[in-house]
Amino acid sequence: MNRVLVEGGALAALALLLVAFVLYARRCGDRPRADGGYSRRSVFDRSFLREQLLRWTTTTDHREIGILYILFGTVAALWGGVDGMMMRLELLTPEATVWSEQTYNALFTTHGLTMLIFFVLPVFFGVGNYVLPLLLDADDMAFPRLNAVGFWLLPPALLLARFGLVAQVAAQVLGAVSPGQLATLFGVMEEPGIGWTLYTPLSTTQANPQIDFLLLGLHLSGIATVIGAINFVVTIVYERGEDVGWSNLDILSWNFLVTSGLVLFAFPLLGSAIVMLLLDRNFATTFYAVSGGGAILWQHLFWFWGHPEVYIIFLPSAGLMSFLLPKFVGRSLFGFRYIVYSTLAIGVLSFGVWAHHMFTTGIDPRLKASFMGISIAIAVPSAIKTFNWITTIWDGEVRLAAPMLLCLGSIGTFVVGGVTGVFLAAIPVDIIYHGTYYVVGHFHMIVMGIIPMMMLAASYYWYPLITGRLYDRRLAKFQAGLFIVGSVVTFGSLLALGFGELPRRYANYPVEFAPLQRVASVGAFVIGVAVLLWLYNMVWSYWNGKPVEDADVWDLKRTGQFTREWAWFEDRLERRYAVEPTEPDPETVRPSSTDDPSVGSPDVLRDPRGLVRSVLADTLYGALGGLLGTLAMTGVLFTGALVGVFDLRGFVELSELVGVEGSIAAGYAVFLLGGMTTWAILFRALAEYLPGRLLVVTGVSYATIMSLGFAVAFYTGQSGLALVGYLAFVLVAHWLYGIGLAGTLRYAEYRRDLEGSGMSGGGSGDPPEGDR
Amino acid sequence: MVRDALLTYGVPFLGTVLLAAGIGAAVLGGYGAVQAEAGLCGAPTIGVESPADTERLRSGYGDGGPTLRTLPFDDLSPAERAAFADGVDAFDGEGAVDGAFPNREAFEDGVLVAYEGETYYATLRSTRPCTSVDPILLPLGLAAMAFGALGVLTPPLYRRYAAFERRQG
Repeated sequence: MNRVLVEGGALAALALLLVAFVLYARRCGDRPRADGGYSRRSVFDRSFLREQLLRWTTTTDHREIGILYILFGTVAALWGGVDGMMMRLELLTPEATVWSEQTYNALFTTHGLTMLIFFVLPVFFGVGNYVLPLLLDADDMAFPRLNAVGFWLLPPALLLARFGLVAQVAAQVLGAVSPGQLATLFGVMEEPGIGWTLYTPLSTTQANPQIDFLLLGLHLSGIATVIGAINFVVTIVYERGEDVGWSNLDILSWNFLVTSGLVLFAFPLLGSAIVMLLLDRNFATTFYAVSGGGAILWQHLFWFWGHPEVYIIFLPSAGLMSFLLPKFVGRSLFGFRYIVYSTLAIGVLSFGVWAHHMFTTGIDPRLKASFMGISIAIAVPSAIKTFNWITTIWDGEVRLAAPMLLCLGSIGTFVVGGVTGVFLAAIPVDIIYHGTYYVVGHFHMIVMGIIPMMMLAASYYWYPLITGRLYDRRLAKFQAGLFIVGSVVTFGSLLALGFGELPRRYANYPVEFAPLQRVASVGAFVIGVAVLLWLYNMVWSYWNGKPVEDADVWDLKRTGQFTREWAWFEDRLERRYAVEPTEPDPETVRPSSTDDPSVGSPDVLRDPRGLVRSVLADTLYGALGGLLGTLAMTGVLFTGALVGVFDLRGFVELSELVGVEGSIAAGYAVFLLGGMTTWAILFRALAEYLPGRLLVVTGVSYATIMSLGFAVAFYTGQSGLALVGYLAFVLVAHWLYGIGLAGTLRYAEYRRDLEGSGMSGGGSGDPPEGDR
Repeated sequence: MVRDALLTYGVPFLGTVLLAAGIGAAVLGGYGAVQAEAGLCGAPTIGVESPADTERLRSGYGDGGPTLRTLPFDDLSPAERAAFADGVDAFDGEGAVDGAFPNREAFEDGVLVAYEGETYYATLRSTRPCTSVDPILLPLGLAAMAFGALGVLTPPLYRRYAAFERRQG
């Protein structure tokens, strides 16, 4: 298929549809405004167009530049996303039948570069630009004009980096109209197919001049990023308001400060490495030639930027998580100080792990070992963040709004992405999985898990503040769920492909991998649909959403979390639209940080006895419920074994998995133990968040989810009707487990309620004084 | 409550999955139907390196390089010769073998071609196979996309219908 025609056409169609939809949404919203203001001027009014063009190209206002950054990042995301969708189309078939191999190479190269450099950082810089000065009580960024320069370097940088597509479109149009030297000149400039890591010697020996343009574009984007980072650092250090000190600096600002610090150390090095690569390509220097510095030198320099870059794009999302999560659980961030320490630790350690990308090269084994140690160590601060997020949720008043759903999904994908990273940090494992889909699955769990999910969460959270309107909340929740499911399915499948050691970056693959590849592709298309739904919601609501009538959109005043940016918004609403500030009902107010166990925060350190008692009781009842449930489950499974749809060999494999002798009895003992402990305790922890108004229904929901894992783990090659029967028996067995477990716990709660109300089990307690 | 959740989230979710699966099926089915007729597959492409690059690649190995076959240009089939000549002239060094390809195995391994006093390294770059899909894939994909889109649009459609019924009294 003609890649240029398809991608150019898809992008053009997307742009046209978007413009048409913007005009339509604007027209639908063109009615008397809530504030009694005048209706808008037509977009076709030339003076209006001129004014707007002048305003947006010359603005130095931090909020407007923030919006420009976000818009630019969104455009880049759509462009890189189209690349991704095209790759997934190719991988629907084992042979390269949709695109040529060279086109596929170009697709994964440009997809990676566009997403990492031109999508993620600009969007985070946009978020930072918009809200950081408001959070810091600053008038603007420290260097407003430099801020504008930093942004305006990005569009030409993107154009340079992706000029291959533009040139190919020009070549094909010119070739069709008047073939000649100009068409040939553009035709030579193909999108590079050398991988986003631009490894030498491939990148130095390929004659394609577009590689030089790409390098120039990357260099320019690096300059833009450094300018932005300098601005953030100076703003956070010097532009804070009088009552904003280091002790009460918000967590998002801390994360941006560390991120900007990393940028200052990492990006100049990338610039230098790129300059040397350009010199090697064009001026016959030998920085990366065998006779000079060697090809491995590029890998060292590239990854000295590349791995901190991973944390440069992760830390803002971690900051957003730490900032947003408490707002939706009504509790302040647990272990705030340690999250700050973990951010600083990640910042330092991120510069000491770069060679874990090079475990399969010939570097000294002792060096490799040290990098392995630091790579595993960097999991510790990441885990500190994760556990603190989970502890923040614990016992909070969880509100499952779209940002919260995205936070929960992010924690899940981040844990999977992080744990697979720990495995890859171990040299022996990396030797096997290096260059396979396992690596692709691992890093996509982060870069398509927590990073864009936090962007979406931020977009939903601050949308009312930016636009003064509300979006469609039901659609937002649906979109969030869709995005999470799509990501897990797609990148979970890639991890599974990696377990099969399928090498990455090949357009052709053995036919036995086709089913998983197809699942991954369908998941990717689900993500694509989710992104379009987000775009629809954002654009439509901008003109047609319900106007904000209360600045406390998220009910933050009730728990004392109404932060500065919302206070600024409230002030603006009052000044501009005379919207009176509201106060929550004093009856419902409770502090987000407190030592009083009756209002939320568990007072673990001061009164551990009650906690220990309840934990012990929960554990005992859970174990009893688990025992009853597992025994009921056993009956169904053994019936299945008699019928011939369930194989008891599954228990043997289970016993071998935990390292005891391989027998059915030992396996069953492990199974029974798991049912009484792990799964029962997990149910106690999750029951509140699972569907079902009655605990027994919740138990059945929980068991249904569990049955999926069981069905995979105990599968012994059944097919056809035997497979259908196996799945049915597994499902019914799990339902019985859920009913047994939840029923026991419900009974225990009933008993406890009776005791708490002063009545004994049989209701034979002494009657109250007055009844005698 | 359950019905609301089902209509707001459940049906659109199933619709999205159908839509996503339909996209893949429709694109592959549609492309498979026109690919061969449009001449977009079936002719493998070979890549030809310049004599300078060929020498660089060979010298890079020193004495321990691979042993490559050398084929005189005249021993190639007409289709191979045409593809090779195209590769020598093309900026990307690529030419399509549109016809008999008797030396395919040699090109798969990488081969040296002696042509006009120079030696060129040539390899098979792409087999460019045609998509072989069931003809029913296209209509199935289109139907899945249509049903999927309907599923995604269920919540607003349902709300509008409910409002209509309320108006009817």
